[in-house]
Amino acid sequence: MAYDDVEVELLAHPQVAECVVTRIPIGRRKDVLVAYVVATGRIEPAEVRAFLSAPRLRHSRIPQAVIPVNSLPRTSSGEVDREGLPLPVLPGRAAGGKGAWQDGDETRRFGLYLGGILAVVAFLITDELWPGSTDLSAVPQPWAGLFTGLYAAECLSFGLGIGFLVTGRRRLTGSGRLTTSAHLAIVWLLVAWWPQDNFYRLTAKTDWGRQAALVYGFNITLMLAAAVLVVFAVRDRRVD
Amino acid sequence: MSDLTGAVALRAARPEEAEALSALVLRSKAYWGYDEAFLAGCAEALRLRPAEVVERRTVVAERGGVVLGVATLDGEPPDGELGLLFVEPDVIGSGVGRMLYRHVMAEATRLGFDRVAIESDPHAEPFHLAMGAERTSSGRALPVLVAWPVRPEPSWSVAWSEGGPTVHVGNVAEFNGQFTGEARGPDHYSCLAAFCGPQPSLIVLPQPVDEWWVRDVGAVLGWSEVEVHSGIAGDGHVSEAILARPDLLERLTSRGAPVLPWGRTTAFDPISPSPEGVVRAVRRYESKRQANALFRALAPEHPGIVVPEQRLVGSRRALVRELAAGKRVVLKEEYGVGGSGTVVASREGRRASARRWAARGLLVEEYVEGTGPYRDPTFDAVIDVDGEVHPVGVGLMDVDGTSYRGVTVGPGVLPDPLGDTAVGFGVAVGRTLSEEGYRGWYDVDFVTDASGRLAPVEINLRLTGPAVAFHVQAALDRRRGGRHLVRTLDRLPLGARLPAGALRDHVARTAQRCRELGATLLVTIPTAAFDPVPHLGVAIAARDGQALADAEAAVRDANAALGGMFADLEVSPRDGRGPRTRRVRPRRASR
Repeated sequence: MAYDDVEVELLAHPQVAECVVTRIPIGRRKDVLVAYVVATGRIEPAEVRAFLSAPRLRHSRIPQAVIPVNSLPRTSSGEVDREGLPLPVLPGRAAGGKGAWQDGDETRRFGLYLGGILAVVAFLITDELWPGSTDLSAVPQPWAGLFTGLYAAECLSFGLGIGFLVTGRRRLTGSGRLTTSAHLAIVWLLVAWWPQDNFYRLTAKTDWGRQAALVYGFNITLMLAAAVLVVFAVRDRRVD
Repeated sequence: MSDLTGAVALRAARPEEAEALSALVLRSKAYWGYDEAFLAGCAEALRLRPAEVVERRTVVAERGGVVLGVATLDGEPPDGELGLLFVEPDVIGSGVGRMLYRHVMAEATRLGFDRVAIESDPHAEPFHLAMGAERTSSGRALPVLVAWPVRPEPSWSVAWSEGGPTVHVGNVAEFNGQFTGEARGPDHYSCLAAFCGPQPSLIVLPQPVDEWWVRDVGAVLGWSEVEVHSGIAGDGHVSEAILARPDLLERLTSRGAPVLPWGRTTAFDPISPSPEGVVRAVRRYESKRQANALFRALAPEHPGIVVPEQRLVGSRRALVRELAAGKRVVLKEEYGVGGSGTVVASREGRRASARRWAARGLLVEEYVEGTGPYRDPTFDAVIDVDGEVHPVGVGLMDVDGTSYRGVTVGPGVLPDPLGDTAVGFGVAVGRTLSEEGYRGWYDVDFVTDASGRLAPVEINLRLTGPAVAFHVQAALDRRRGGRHLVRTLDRLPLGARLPAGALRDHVARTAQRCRELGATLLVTIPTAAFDPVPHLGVAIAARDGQALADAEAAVRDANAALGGMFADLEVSPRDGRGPRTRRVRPRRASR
C-alpha cells in the first residue's frame, strides 16, 4: 500500500527534509502506520502529527508515530529501501543465545503436520473400528452432508489433540504437575469426540450398561478436564 | 665518514666505553641544532656512567670497530624505558638507529617487558612513530611515546591452530543439542567460532552473516582472505547441512588445514574425524556429576581448591527434603550449557523449585557463599595432538544469576594467587582429560568462596565464550604488541531492530567512539540484531581497565539510545499490549 499522498503532505512541513511513510510491526500480529523523517534541526513528533491532521488527510492515513532518523536507507538506484529501516523491539524474550533456546516454528509446524496426518488416518479407519457408525445411506441430503461435516470435525479435533499432546507441552507457560494436568486436559477435550461419538452412535438408547460406561468414560471425564483447565487458568503463579 | 660498505654489528657495551659513549650521545644531540648552553644542561641527564652500562643493558652498533650508535633498555619488567638511542650524526638516516631500536624491542620481548616508554627528542618523534611507537601524552616538555614489545606466539595458539590457517565450523546448537536431545536454531552463538584461530581461512556459520562483518573484523585482527559460507542451517544442524553439500565439504577438507568445530559431536565426525576417544571424553566430562567426581579426586593435591558437595536426587520427595533443610543449594541438570539447566534455590522458592525440577534426575550441589569482585574465574587451555596441556589463561566471567554473559581477560583481571591456583588446578584437570583421550580446547569454571578459595563447578570440553576473548587478545597482542585487556559481552540488548545497513552504520559510529576512548570494538555476534528482541555480541579491547570500562559504557549507551527514535510510538517492549493510539502527554515541567 502506497502512502505517497501522506509523504507529500509531510514534505510540506518546513523541517522535514526526507521522509517515508510505511506500516511497521510492533507486535506478533500487529502493525502500525508510521513516518520515518529526516529533519533539519530538532523536530517535535507531536507537532508533525498535528501538522498532518490539519490538511485533507483521512484519519486512518495519519501516521500514529513520527520516527526521527539521521538518514533513510537507499537502494543502489537511490530509492528508499523500506527493508533497511530500523524497527522497534517487539515484546517477548530474546532467542538463540547460549542455552536460551526457544520453541521454534518448526515444532509448531511438526505438530500441525502430525495432526493433519492423524486426522486423515482417523477418517479412513472410522468404519473399520466402528462398522456402520457413520453410515449415512438412509439419510437424505442436505442432512447427510452436514453429518459428514461432523465426522470430519471429530477426526480433525482428534488429530489436533494428538499433535498438541506431542508438541504442546512447552507452549504452556509454567511447569510442574498442574501444567501437565492442564496439558492432558486440553488433549482429552480435543481427542475424546471421535471415539465418543462413534461409540454413542452404535449404542442402543436403552442399553443402560453401555450408556453408563460411556457417560462415565467420556462425559464425566470431559467435565473434569474442563475443571482442571479452570483451576489452571486461575491458579497462583509462583515465581522462584 | 665511516666505511659504508662494512656490515653493522651489535654488541653489548663495556663499562670502560662509558665516557666515549656519553660523548657520542652529545654529538648526536647537537645534530638538531641546539646551542651550547642547552647541550650543557642536557649533559648530566644524558651521561652514561661506567657502573650503569651493564645495568642499563647498553648495546652499541659498530662497523669495522668504529662505534656508530648506542641504546639502553632501562627498568625492570613489565615496565621498561628506552633510555638512550643515539647514533653518530653522519649516519643518522642510514638504518643504524632502526637496527638499535629493533634490538632493544626484541630484548624487551625476551625479558618479558609489556611496555617500553620513550621520552623522545621532538626531532626524533617521527622516527619513533614510524617504528611503531604510540604517542601517549604531549603535555610534557618532551613527547612521551610508548612501544609495545611483541611477545612470541603463545604455545597454546600454535597447539590449537597447528601453526597455520584454520577452517572454522560454528556448531554450537548441534553441540549443545547432543545433551538435550535436539539442536535448535537460531544459532547466533556460533558466530563466535569465527574468532577461534589466528588465521581463519574458511568459516562456516549456521546463520547468515553479511560480508562486511568478517571483512571489518579481519582488518582489525589481521586475517587475510577468508572464505565465508553462512546461513546454511537455520535449524542449527550444521554438520548435516555440510554433509548434504558435497562441494562445501570438499572445500572444507581439501585445503589440509585443521577443521575446528565449536565442539566435537558424532554428527561432526564424518566431516573431520576426531582422534579416538575424544567424543567419549566429551560426553563423560561435560557431565557435571563426572566433573565433580574428578574435582574431588584431584583437590587434595591443590590447596586453595574446595570442591562443593554434590548429590544426585532421584525423586521429587528427596528434592523437597533437600530443600527443606533450609540451606541454599544449586540445582543442576547433569548437562547444561552456559548456566542453562542450573538454578540457585533458596528455602522460599523451594515448592516451585521442587515442581519445576521434579523427576529430572538432577544434581543438588552445595551453594558456595561469596561475593566480591573475583566471584567467577575461569581457566582455559588446549590439549595438543600429543596430549600435552597448554594453559591459555584465566579470565573473570560476567555471570548474571547463573547465566554466562561474557568475560574479561588480560593482565591483572585476577589477583596472582587466585590465578595461580586456577591454573594449577585447571592443568591437573587437563592432564586427566588428556589421559582419557581428549584433545582440543577445554575450560574449567570456578566460583570463589567467601574466604578466597576456588570451587570448581564445571568442565567444558569445547570452545568457550572466553576462548573468543583469548583469541582476540592474542591477535591484538601479535599486531600491536604489549598485552591487551579484552572484554566480551555476548548479549548486549539493542534499542531497535537493525537491518544490515543500519547495523553497520551503528557499529561504525560506536567503534569510532570507542577509538576516541582508547579502545577497539569488534562485533562478535551480528546475526541477532534484527531479531524481534535484538541483541549484539561484542568484544572490547584496550590497554587499561579505565578505557575498557569507558568503552563498555559507551557501547551500552549507544545500543540503548537506538530506542530513542521510537519514543513517539509509545510501545513498551515489555508490556506487549500492542498499538495504542493515545498520544504521549507532555510531562509537566514543575511538580
